Amino acid sequence: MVLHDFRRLRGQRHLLALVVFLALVSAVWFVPLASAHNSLITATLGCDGGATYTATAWAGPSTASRTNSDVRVFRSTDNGKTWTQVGQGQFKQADAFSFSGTFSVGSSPTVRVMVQEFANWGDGVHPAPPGYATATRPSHCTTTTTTTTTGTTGTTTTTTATTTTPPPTTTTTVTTTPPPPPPAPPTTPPVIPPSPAIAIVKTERVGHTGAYRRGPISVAVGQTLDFQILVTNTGDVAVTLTLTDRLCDAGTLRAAGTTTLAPGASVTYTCTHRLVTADASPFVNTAFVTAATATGAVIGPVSSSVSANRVRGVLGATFKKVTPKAKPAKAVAAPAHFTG
Amino acid sequence: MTANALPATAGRAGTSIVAQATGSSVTVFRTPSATRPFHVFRNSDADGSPLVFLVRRQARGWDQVRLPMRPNGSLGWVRARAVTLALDTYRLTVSLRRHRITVWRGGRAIARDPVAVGRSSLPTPPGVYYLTDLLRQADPQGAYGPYAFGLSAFSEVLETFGGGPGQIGLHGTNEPGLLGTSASHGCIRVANSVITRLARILPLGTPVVIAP
Repeated sequence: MVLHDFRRLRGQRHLLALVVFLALVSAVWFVPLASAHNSLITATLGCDGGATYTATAWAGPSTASRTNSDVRVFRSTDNGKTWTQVGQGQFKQADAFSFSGTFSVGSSPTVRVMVQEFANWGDGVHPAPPGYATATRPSHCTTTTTTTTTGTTGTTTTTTATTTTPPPTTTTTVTTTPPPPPPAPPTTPPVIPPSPAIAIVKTERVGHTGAYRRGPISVAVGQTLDFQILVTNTGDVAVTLTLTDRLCDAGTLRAAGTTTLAPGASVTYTCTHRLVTADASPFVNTAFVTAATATGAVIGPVSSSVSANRVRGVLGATFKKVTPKAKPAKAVAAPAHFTG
Repeated sequence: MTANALPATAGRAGTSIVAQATGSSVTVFRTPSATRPFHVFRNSDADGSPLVFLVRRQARGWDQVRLPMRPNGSLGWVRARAVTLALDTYRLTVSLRRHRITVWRGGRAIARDPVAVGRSSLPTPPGVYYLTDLLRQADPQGAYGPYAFGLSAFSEVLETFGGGPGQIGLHGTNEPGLLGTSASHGCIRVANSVITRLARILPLGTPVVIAP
């Protein structure tokens, strides 16, 4: 319809007035979560009700879930460099938490969405790894524009036209010269930027024996806790990890392999801590990991915690061994003088 | 030094450690690094019962134990070589409010029975204690029933009672109608059939947790 209007006005001597329109491009997205530690995020980016694009992201390994996890929703239009909180909510296991919002993405071709637990952890103890999703601007949008023209007689004509074009990103000037043909749709699919993501799971055991567990476990002062931290690159781009674990004993934190992970790869860190009297009970130890891509984007920190309850008594072999079982008391024949 | 924390365990659910004196006496220290003892217990008291303690925690060469003395909840350290240790899978819990005793073995409740506890003017003191004596009574139909256990607890009101030091006991009764009430002078009374059963199975040193 816009082309038709331009042809009708081409015979006139006067230039058409300069028509400036700013098209608002909006993004509408939707974030469902399957559970706190098993998140499936879908981001949908559209413009003015036009075509949509959907991307999904996997937020990390699944563990036990409880109810009423509190989550915050962030979005980024600069590929994860800066994040803006745009929502907050709560969901229960097996329910879907959804949040939708509309905002201008400007000239950004993509929008990233992150959902992060911040309270009432799904497993009751640890925050789930944050989930990410990336959506790319659709190749075409249906945009309604209003054009105002002024003729030599001073008449004003207002027309409304709807067209399908690439999403407008800047101010557009229209003149009386033959209008340009509609732009051809792109011949190559949109490029989806890399979506880095990591997952971390920490486990523990006591006394250098037995299997690592999520805990909590029991430990006595003087015993040594072993920690194992498994970090997995769950994104689609290689990342370099930086892991901190403040309560590990100095010099015990080490990685069993390279800390630069290809997508899907994992690395295991280990460290130890010998429980001392000054340690709190329960002894909660949290590992934080951040990941950097080759382009400098940093995600995280993502954390995982384990706890150990301090117990009194003998758990190690450094003390006197207690083997015999106490025998029933031998009654002594004597009058009692208790309080009665 | 006092403490009302739950009894020490040996790393197994519901298992405690009992220390029995090996010599004629046991010296008790405030800390393992103390140079002088603060108390000496004679092994075998006036009734001939062996001296036992309930172990609260352990250190190399030392055991921290609960002490059968005033104030209630007293703790001290004894040299590990002065005692032999044994595992006790039994534990008693007494609810003063519910007038009920529960017998635990290995973390499982194996019996629950009504008790009479101290009246409001002579209350049974809450805390963590242990069995120190087992006395067979000449008159099974008497006020103490056929058996009476002594506890490491003492009345907070009575300094002496019947010629004794005001020690709290767990024993039978000749007034079974008062079970389930607060009627005693501070002792824990159970049915004679119950105390007879307990006397057959419980070692000295068995923890007794008295809850309000």
